Amino acid sequence: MKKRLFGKHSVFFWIAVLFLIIIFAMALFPGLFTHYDPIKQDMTALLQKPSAEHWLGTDNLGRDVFARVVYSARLDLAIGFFAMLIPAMIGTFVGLLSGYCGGKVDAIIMRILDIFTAFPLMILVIAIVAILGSGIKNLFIAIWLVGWREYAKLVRSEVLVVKNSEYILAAKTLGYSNLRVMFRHVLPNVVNSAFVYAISDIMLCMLMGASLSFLGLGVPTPTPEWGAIISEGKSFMMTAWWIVAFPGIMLALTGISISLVGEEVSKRLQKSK
Amino acid sequence: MKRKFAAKFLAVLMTAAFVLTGCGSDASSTATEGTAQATEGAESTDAASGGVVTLARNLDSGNLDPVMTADNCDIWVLNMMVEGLVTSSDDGQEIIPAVADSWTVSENELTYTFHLRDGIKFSNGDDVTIDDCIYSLTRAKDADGPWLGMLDMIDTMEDGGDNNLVITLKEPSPMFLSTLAMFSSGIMEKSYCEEVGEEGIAECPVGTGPFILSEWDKGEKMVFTANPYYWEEGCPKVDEVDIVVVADDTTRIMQLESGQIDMASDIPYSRIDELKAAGNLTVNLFDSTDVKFVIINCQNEYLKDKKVRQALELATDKDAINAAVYFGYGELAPTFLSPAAPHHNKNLTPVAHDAEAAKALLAEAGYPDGFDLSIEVGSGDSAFLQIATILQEEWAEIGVNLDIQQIDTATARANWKEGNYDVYISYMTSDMTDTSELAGLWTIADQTNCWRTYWDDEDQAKAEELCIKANTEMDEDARMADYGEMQEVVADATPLIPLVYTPYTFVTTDKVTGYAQTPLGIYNFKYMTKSN
Amino acid sequence: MEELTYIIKRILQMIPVLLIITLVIFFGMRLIPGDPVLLLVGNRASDDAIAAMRAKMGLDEPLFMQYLLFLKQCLTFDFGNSLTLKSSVVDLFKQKAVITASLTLMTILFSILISFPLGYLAGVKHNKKIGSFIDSLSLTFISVPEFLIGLIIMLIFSLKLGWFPVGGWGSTVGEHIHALILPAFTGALGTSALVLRNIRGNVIEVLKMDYVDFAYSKGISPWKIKVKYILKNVLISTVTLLAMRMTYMLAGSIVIESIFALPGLGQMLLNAILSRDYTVVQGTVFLFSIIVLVMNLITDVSYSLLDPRVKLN
Repeated sequence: MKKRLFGKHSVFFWIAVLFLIIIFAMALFPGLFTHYDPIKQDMTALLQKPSAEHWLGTDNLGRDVFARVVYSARLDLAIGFFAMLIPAMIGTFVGLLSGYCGGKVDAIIMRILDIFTAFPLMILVIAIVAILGSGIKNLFIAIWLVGWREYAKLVRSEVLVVKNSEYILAAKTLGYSNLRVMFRHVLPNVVNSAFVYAISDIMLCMLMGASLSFLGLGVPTPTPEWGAIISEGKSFMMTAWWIVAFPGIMLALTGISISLVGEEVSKRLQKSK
Repeated sequence: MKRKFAAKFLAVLMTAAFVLTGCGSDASSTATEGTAQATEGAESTDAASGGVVTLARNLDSGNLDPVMTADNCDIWVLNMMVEGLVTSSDDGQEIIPAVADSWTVSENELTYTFHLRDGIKFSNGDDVTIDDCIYSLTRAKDADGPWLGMLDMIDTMEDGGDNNLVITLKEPSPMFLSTLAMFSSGIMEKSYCEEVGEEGIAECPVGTGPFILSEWDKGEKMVFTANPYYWEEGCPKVDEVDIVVVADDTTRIMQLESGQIDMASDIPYSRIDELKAAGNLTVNLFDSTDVKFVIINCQNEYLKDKKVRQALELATDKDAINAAVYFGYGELAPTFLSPAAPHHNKNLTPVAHDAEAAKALLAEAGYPDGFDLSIEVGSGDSAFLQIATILQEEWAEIGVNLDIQQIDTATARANWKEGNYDVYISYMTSDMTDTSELAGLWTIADQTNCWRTYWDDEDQAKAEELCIKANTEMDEDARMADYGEMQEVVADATPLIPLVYTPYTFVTTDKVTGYAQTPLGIYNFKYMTKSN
Repeated sequence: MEELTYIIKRILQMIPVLLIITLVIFFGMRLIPGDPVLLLVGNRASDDAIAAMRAKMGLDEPLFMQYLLFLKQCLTFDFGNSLTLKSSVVDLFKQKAVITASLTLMTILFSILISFPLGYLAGVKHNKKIGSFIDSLSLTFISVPEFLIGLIIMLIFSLKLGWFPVGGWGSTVGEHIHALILPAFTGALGTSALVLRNIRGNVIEVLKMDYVDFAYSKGISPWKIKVKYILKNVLISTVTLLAMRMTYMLAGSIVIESIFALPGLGQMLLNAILSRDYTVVQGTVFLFSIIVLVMNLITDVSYSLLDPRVKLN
């Protein structure tokens, strides 16, 4: 069993696994990677280029960029997974229900979805900030409120195709309960789009804070988080590229690694079926 | 009783000058380097004028009715279209002629006689009459807008014959001419105003200014064309000034570098050094009345104690803020009046950072372990957010833990009205070449400053008394002494922590010369030329 | 016939949906703290001035009456004047919507042009280096914020090479199109990455299916197989994804509009919300929601056209 799991994978897969292990280690034990405090300001060392002392340079308040990048891992992984996972589950379930049941259930669910789609994201965000205040908790609320729509629509569109295919009809004629057909037969055939989208969604969620922070909804300063570091460093993009470049690279590498590993895992899961 | 009456009178007399909406979002950048006001004198005889000059700024104007707006985005362009009887010079130090070419003041300083410039016309070609002036000033005096009460010193206005306007005051006022020089006292045509109504004026005011607003796509672009009837020979020198909205700082600078636009305002201080080195751009740091500060809600249970407020100021490293946020282009502020304002007290020195002294003072006040506060910052304002982040670390050293809240202006205003905030980072610019406006705002209790923050004790009474006295004093030395002492009282009472004075950043290509931005922020483009 | 009844049914269903939307937007806006009157009159205004302004804007009426007025406005498509900008809401909407709609259309067009060939290639060659490369590249595009990509693209193509204007909208149709290319490309990178990954995933799925092998063995030409089986199978989820992105962008991409200095709906709506300009927000969101509903309907109808297995009901 073990042997097969470690079988014929490309070297990229192993690099990705290694990278993710490092990220997880950063999330769990950031202190092992750097002795700098990610929020400690140093007015004598503003905007310094990467050097032996500050590996990735310092930012506009003299904070060590490497330390900030390392300490971001925990929060970013949390955002990536929880901000993605819950809407993905809700959305997939809603889409499945809507597409499979059809008729009135579908009509009602889809009209609710229409209502949610009708409000531009920023209206929602400003309302949330104004009513609940800024902060990570409210960032999650905003993402959860809007995040499920894509999954619901995607899954529903696939269910509409699959539910009229022969094997589903066959399963129905065999007298399987609707619930069983839905989850055992329809779901595995439609979950692929949602899964592919979810990988990208992890990164969209991590970046959400970066694009919403100018409305006041993001990770509160000075908490380090890749998206927030990028948006704070935006003003210095032309003069101190290192502030935005490294968190950007971390985001991209994390995304690529999750994608590579995720794909192998899903392949394995499907084969074992 | 007497105090109360005087205060009330003054409350109506003056108005505040600042603006947190609109143009504020990039208030972030600033510093003072005492640069020359205009890049070139008015005497430029450059015949090769004409052409179109494009200025990019970060926000659009909203309401152009001089008596109804309090927003810098509106105020700073109003002088292009509407002028007062008099106006302020580019360095903000003197009152110079505009619609009136001369004036005399009676011995008792109650009667002013203004002589209208011969043959002066509105930008639509109609003659300016005494009637138009009386109409405009009456409107300015009575309109229930943000400037209500500014002209209450006027008793009567009448036609003195021979193109003379005679204005009689209720009592002598040192600020009368400065008030007339304000945008809100601009002269507009009576028949036009009555025809288009308030809404129409807000869209396109017609006055005697060097330019005409000929096109306005909201949120996008304002097109100002030269006024062919302008009274000053050969002005304006360019045919057209386009003011476009480019919200993103980096884009605005790139447009300038590519030559797509000729001028850009609100350039971040982080880019100044680099742009100076670029060679083909002119980087102006215009003296300004702009001051950045932390407002303290003196009704807060901790902050009502003067010692606590002083401790917070001691814990604030203004130098660090100037270095990190304003790249050293600011000047550390000891008082709420900038050196570009007429009565800035030069004897005051900025409170130096001293965490130990701050800690001791806080312990003395009964809070050796500190307490928690929330600090509000306008959302989207990255400079103020940086200041808040710096303060968070510095104040934590004396045990004051700050929770940073980013909120939008509308929410902030509602909070202020309720007194529902602890400390707030903001800025202010003056709108007149006189001290009464800002002084009254910070010291007179009845005057409704938007933060509703009065410290209600002996200091307050003393500052208010000094301010009221200075506001009506005709002797300049006595005024200076009283305003000076008032600043000392305020600095000691610390209802606000002044941080830095910042210059306006205004960058242009080398092709344009002759423009100015006054310390009040007002653009003067009438002598501007553009070479090819 | 079946389609027609379905469409009519859906249009009827829009009525209650729109009603709920008007309720949410009207009362939602008023739940947000902050008062447009306070912003308009400035800090120094007297209570009288505040009351006068409130009356002038019709905000002193009971809430319910204001809501009824809004409903009436929705029926007549005349939303009155903006509270802050003094212009008619409908005119403002038209003026800004042209820009945003053009940007959206061009973005979608670019996304399709980028994502279909690359997505297909990445799917077919998913075990090869080229497949992984495209996949990683697309993930990189998703993980870089739009403002970074936009500024970098503008720095290179506008400032250094001078091929395009540095933002702005221009004044002729030619200039408009020229001005839209970079912002549309910037938006398309993110969108096409999503679509590309979806196509790739589906292509891999379809290639595993027995019927594709079966078709091959039957001697049907590979091209036909590709079009008939693969394209058909990825189209529905792709259309869904594109439609979702389209509604997202139609609301106005604040970031792209801001970087490229395009005076579109996003900027207007943002300013309107920040200044609590009730009439603009209400009118714009209502008009926008109609567009969303119609687009959702078109998407649903297109399912059955794209794949006969899908039945409308």
